[in-house]
Amino acid sequence: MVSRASPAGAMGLLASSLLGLAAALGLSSCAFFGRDMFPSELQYREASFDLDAALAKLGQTYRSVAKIERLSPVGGANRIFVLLQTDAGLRLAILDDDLEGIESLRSDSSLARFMLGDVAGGYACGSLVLDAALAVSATADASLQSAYDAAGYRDEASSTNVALWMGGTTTLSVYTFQYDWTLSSFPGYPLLPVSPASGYYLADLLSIDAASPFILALLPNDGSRPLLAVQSDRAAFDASRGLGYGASGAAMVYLDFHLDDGRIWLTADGAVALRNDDKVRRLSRIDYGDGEELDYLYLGDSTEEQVFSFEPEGKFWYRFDGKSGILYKLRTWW
Amino acid sequence: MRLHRSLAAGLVLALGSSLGAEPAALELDGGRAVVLASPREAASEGFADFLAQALAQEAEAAGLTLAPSLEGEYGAEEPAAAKAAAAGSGARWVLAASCAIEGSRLLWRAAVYDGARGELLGSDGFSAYAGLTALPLLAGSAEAALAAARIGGRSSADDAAPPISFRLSFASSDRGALLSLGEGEASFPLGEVGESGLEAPYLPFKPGQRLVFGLEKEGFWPARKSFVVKDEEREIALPRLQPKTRMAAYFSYGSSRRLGAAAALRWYPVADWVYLRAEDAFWCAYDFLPGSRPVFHDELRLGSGAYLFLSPSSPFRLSAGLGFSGIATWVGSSGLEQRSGFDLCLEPFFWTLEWHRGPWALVLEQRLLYSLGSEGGFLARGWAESPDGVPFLALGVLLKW
Repeated sequence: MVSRASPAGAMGLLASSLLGLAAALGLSSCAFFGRDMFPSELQYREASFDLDAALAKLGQTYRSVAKIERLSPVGGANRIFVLLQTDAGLRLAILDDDLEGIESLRSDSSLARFMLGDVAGGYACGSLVLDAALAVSATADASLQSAYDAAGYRDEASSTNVALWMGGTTTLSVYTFQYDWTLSSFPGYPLLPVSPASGYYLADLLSIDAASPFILALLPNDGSRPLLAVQSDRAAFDASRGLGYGASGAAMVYLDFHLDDGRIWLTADGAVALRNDDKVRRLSRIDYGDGEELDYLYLGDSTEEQVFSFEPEGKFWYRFDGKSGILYKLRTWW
Repeated sequence: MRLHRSLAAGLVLALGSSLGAEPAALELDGGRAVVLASPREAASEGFADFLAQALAQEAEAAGLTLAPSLEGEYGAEEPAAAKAAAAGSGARWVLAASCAIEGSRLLWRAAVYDGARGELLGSDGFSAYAGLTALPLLAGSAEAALAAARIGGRSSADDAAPPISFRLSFASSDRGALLSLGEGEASFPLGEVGESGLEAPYLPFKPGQRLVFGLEKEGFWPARKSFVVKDEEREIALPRLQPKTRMAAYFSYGSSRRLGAAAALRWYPVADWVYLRAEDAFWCAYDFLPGSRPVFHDELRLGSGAYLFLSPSSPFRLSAGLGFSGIATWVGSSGLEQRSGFDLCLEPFFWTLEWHRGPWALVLEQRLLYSLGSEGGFLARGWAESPDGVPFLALGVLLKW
């Protein structure tokens, strides 16, 4: 006889089918349940700001957002610096830390990608230096304008600001400035022990304070694997003068994947890399010890017209959505 | 008046209720026949012998071998006598010849029985003046009886094999449904499906014969079953009748709402062909990671669909439709200026593949969703992107009434 199938049996069949479906879709990933048609970072939003609308009110048009950085000067207020690419050159929009509005919109030929909250409570963007009240206080060495990959830190002990960039294919330029951005020294440190012939691009630098690890994220220009150069602290870097990598105990962590669009950020809790391998477009947090993935945030099908930034302490990150023109402040997922 | 009764035995026996209790078939030789002559009366003895001989000749002409003839007993019922003759001779087919004189007339009857069950397969009876002129008529009756029984290898290649010796039995969960041989007005009712299915009256089908059965029940779509007769006794599974659906409830789980579910109501203005649907889906997006806060969504979806290609009695059905939906969203983060939003979406196409099992069906659904980029919503204008590249799929159960 043909047995009569009941609705209860159907529910059982459905339940087992769903379990199979869930397993197939990767239930083991914590982020499994957070994925739907909505932006994945909706769960992490702390604040949002309609940058498009705010700039329009100020009469400012722009082509794209070139860079976003949260700057924390010594003794100063945290601010969000948004570098805009316009038809007439670079513009700088400065927002408060809670994304409540644009505090200042600047047009200056000294603007560039280099940004640092300095040792005197001010801010540098390119060679333009602003004080705590966002008034122009100085113009630093013009080399900061041309250094596309410049990154920096401030040393409270010596009251100096330091900018680093790849001055040549195998040379790390280290420019040290007084608290008022007067240039005091600018040696070049060869990175020969670890440099490929084509040289590196300095993607990011992490040096929160003198005692914390000093880490460089280097992208070989020949397209080979990214590299994290990890030293125990700033003193180790100063002592080695760059030459010591590999020989003075500095860890060289090669990542086993390629970055999507060369985007990587260094935080106190690990490096965050934009990846598109394994058919999953994601922000992947990488362990400094072994270069392995700690966790990741799924990003959806496309990161087109999206600009990301992670603050060094690893508490917040920023995402600008070029399609909607909205800037988001987000909690990190770890 | 001539009493000519060359009837298909199955139709005759279908009217007789006594057939339902027949014992199982005996192990008999389907290639053999035995002649059973009725008890002799002196007056008709010569005619009876002639009729028996004529039957024997017809059987031999049909390719059957003959067992020694037997004579029946007075007072015995012919079917029982036929079974006894078969059991005694080992021959499957029993050719019964009976004659009687009434006045100046001779009455006779030639009959062919399936000795395994005592079932009449064919017969021919007549009366005539009891003289020599009756002999050709006796021979004609013998030929007609054999022809009506359709046994042996005489008629055609199809008739070469003997008919099946068992009654067809059917398995069905549709209790109370009426099973018919054939479809439409030309159909012949076989009976009503009971608790344990249905055993049809004996019908002398030949192995290899293709049959069509119809199954009907009030409130259900009729179904048909095509079947090729086998020479082994085997239960025939009838298709499950699909109820005529006016309303249905639908519960589903979707790839784009992993921590939630949806419930829908369908109304069919045209039963099992066209439906209007209202669905509400509630889900939560939550990564269970330290920085994440739950985001709640509720989607109200309205639309209509129609079934394509396959008839309502088919277990597999395909439907397609369109609609629109509104999605309300609540964000768990407390610091956000915009903690709630509403997105309006068009659904220009959805399809369902459904496996129907009586009052319920398993449904796989996929849809395309276009966000209108509503002011105050969280979705940008454009086609909604499904997570992980998996299309918007949902699996659910449809409960119909």
